[in-house]
Amino acid sequence: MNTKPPLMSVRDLRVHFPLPSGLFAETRLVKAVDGVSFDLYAGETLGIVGESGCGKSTLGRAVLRLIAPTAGRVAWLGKDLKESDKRQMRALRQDMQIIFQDPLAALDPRMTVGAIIAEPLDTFEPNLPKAVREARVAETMQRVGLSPAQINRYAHEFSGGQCQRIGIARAMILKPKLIICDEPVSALDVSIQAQIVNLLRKLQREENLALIFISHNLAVVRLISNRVMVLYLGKVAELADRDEIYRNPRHPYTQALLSAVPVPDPDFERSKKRISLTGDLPSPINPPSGCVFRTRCPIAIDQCAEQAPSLEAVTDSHTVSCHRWTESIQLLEPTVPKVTTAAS
Amino acid sequence: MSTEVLEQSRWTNSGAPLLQVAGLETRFTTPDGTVNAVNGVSFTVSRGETIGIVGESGSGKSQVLMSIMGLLPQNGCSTGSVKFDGQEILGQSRDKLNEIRGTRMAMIFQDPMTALNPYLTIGRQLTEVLTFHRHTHEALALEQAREILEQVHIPEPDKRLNMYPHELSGGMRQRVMIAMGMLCRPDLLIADEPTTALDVTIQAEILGLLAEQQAATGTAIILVTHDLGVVAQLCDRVFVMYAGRLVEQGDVRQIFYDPQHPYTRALLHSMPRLDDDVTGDLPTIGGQPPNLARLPRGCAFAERCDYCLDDCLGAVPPLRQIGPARWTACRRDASELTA
Repeated sequence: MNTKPPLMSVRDLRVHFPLPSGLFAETRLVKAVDGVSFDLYAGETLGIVGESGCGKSTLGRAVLRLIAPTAGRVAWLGKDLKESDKRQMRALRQDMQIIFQDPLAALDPRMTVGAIIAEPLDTFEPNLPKAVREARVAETMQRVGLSPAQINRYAHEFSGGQCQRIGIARAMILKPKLIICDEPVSALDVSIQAQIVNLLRKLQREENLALIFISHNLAVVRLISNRVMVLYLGKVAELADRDEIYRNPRHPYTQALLSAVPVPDPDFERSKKRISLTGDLPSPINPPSGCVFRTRCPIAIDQCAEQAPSLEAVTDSHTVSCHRWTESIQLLEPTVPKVTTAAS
Repeated sequence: MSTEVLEQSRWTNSGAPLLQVAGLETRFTTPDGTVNAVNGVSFTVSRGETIGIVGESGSGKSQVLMSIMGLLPQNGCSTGSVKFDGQEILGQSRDKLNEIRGTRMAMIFQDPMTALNPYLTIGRQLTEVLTFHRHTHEALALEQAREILEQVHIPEPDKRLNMYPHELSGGMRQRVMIAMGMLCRPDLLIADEPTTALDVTIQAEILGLLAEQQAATGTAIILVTHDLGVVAQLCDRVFVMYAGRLVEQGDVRQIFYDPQHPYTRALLHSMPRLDDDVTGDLPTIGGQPPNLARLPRGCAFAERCDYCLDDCLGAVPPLRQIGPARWTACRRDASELTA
């Protein structure tokens, strides 16, 4: 879909955390992210979904090198980030920003909103004249829907939705090329959620921003993403264009996730077929052999325990990691949500 | 044998609705003034039905439940009337309330980790319900606790009885909460955002479990949630709350397919849907919910409403009946609201 080189290229990224262990015991590892690859282009949104503990937040932090990856390569505009020294990495950070789930916790309670939003400027453009700095802050506040008159207020005086706007303003003020959004709307009410999603989309259009949108809410991800990656226990289960993954999910896990989301439509909800998964997410310390999903998979066979599936191509832009992807739809008959096109 | 005794005691005063709430008002005294959390809420719940209460944070939905259960903090005070099986329970003493709380009326909270006692084993917490309320013998109680864990599909129930809450996953803990709530086969189960902290696959299991338990025992459920999808899946009737008031009430299909109040409509429209291929922007509700310490004189939604007229600002619009079991608190007719 893109002839331009990708903004960010991630190959076989791994983040393993060692667990504290006894003197003679073997060191155990939590494989939080285990071999994830993707390309991200300017102006595009990659949605990352999965249950808690699947490694989606760790992945978001590892691509920014906020957590050092154990192995693998993250290239920014073709250049491996590992080869950048501290000074270069610091300069690159202007282009890569992050916003967090709990907007109030991410803001310093003792700083004014103006100071919070201006902080990245103070770091990267310390010689900016005061008047220019103020103007940039006021302009950014306006762009995210905050009144510049509120510049001297403190974070606690704002509602959750407004705090998230402050977080977005802080991320936007350096005009980045990429923003990682880690569950940015999960703590917000439905009506406020829509405001923030619309704001992110507007900023994306205006600046040709790339977004990595991490969320457990599959409906929000559908709304904002161009492509969607489904993670399970640190591995990519499925990666495809948005409509493809929602209409033609191949991985049993994707199918189960989609069937589990309650849709605000009583007749549909009461007639649809749910694919139920048994049990909880296995511990990433001691993941199952073979396919990591097999312990909860309704169609697992012997092969799944013996051999880990590799990512196979369903189409050019759709990859899936399942031994039985060709027959999964016939076997599970997932009720793919009917598509009502915008009309209602 | 004990279940037989139980069955007999369940259907006393059967003429009255199971729960009848009238003119419920709940106020909190805070340093910033009086917070009007619940402002004149009235409804009834019949035996065996499932009610969904929806609304945004601060709409008072949880405070309605807390007022019914008599679990308000020190600075809170409720007036009005709450009748359980014909008996007034609002403002009753703790001892009096404890005769029905846990046995005939149980509650499940959003966060099972904070609702369970970290110092006690699962078995101890479950048997306590029976030994305290039913004076069941310890050994028999343990057997019943094991049975109920089996009913909520907890694998290896014998092993779990000796475990502590922190040794269980979030989904397992919520199952234990449901087990605890259902132990005495209550007439009414109140669930406050029971699946909000859980992943979707686990949520689906827990909701299925609630429906299953209800089918088996005939318990009425009041489910408070902000997730309209959950309501669509589980509830018979829906109450929509805004700024401490009921603004719409109706059958689940009416609320979803023919919403009358502008707030209900806006709420439904602003929700991103899994089955929607929207590529444009999502409709939003502009602004913020009002401050409960300084409620406007008129309709609390007026400021954010697209259909607000002068008469909306003068006085609070009363809940008016527009059909059998169908109420809305908007002065405008649905025909006047063109979406």
